Amino acid sequence: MNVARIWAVAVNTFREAVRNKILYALLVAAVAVITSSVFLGRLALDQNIRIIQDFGLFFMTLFGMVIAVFVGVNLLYDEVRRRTAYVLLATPLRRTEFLLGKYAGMLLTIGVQVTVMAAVVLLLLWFEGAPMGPVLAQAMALAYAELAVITAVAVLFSSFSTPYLSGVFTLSVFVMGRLSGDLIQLLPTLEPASMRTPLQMVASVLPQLWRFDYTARVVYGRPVSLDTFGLTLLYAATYSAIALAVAAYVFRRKDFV
Amino acid sequence: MSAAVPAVRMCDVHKRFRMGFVWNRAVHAVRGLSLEVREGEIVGFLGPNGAGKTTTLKMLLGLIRPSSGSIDILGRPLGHPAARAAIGFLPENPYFYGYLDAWELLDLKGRLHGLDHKARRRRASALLERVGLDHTQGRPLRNFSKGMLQRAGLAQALMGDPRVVLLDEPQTGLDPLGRKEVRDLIKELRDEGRTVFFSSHVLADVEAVCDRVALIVGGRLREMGPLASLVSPQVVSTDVVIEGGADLDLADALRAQIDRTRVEEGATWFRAHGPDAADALVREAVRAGLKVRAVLPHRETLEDVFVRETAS
Repeated sequence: MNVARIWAVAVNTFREAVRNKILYALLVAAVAVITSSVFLGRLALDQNIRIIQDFGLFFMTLFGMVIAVFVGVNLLYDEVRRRTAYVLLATPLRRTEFLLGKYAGMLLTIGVQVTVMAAVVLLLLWFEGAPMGPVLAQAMALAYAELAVITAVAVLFSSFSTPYLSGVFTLSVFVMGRLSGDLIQLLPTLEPASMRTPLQMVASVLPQLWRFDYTARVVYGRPVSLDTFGLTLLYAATYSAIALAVAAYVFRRKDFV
Repeated sequence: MSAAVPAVRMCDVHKRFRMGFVWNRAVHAVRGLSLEVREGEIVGFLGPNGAGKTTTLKMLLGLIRPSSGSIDILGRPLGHPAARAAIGFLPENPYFYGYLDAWELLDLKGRLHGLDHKARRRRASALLERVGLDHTQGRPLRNFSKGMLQRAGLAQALMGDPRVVLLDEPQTGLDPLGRKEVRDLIKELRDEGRTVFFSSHVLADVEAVCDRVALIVGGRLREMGPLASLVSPQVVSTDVVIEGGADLDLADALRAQIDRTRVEEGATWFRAHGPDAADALVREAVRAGLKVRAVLPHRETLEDVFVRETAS
């Protein structure tokens, strides 16, 4: 594995995103929606800070997820369909390096987008005189980690499926991953009992995205231990690594007909 | 590396594709292909559409995995990093990242070949000047004409200073001047000691530059060798142009060997099959007091070989 080659692909992927006007449009829309939370806050008596925190974190994740799915599901498919990958893969670049470079480029792109959205949220909270506790920074970091997991899932689907199906699959995983916490809690009481094992298996394969949602803790000012925070980040890294390893396995075996 | 080591060696290579989900039908694209390309030679790879040319090139690049058989580049198996680093490739109808300019494309290729910043600048500058694109800095590739894209493609193929250059239909879509430039470049690459293996439908260009030709039909290698060994030096027919000549009366035996092909500007064109028939026709014309304007012998061309082999 050669880091310089992975970085070269990552920078190229980031450059592609930077020169894509649709992503700018999405970012402008995200900033506009997040900014509108100030006006919603005015409507709710004494709740304006909470609404900015709640809306800000929610839309950061939502728009980040839209960008991750929009770009992620096309990531490998377009490269093969347009044959742009051919000239890159006809070099010492290995397919796994190519895939990891594309993923790293996506993370860079999403990182910039999340940073801009986070800056807008922080600016709005500063205007409202809200306290800036560490839990807010943790929540933003975990929102980014969640997007890293979703991007890895999108890349995995993109390695063997069309963009449309990959988009549907990734969105389904996002929704189910957010709800998987409830599913795990309900499992012991679920009837018929024969359904528990298969559902347990499904729940264990799905990413437990509910772990990344710290909105309530931010809103109610409840701190998060560094252990929990670190373990959640570790979970994101592990899940993403497994998804990318499967994607790389599929991609390595692919014939570019 | 010893001079005896071939630049490209394919040994009994097969490629079967599985088509369809339900029936899972196997399509045999390449069947037992064995060939060697020596270092420093230009080999043209010919075949009709669907013969397996692109599949073979993609196998040489590792884009398609052979079902069986082995492929070596400069004596090393295909997946070896040194083998991959030794290859430069121009795809058919190249489509590059439209948001990059030619400099950025070459810079990216240079990074993947592990070149440092100075080396990338130097090589990109030299190559873009060589293909006449050094004035295009800042112009995205999506705004390039087809000919310019082809030239950018050739430049990127050479960015890693490859010893083996694989070109898939390099003359496709080029005007006559562009085709000549590509021909000249291919010869220059050979003169620099590189090996060039290229597929093409433009037989005249293949004849003009290739040291050897490989002909693939139905996934099998039909012929491979120097042009002189594939193309017969014998005269296969002769055009005889006779002023007037429309009323020339020929003996039955001679008529059977001669076709009247056309009348043009007062002259009749005859095609005589075999040199004896042409001699006899000229004698008959002189005897009848007619003027013979031209005698044009035809030898077998690569196109004749191509048509014969693909039709059989």
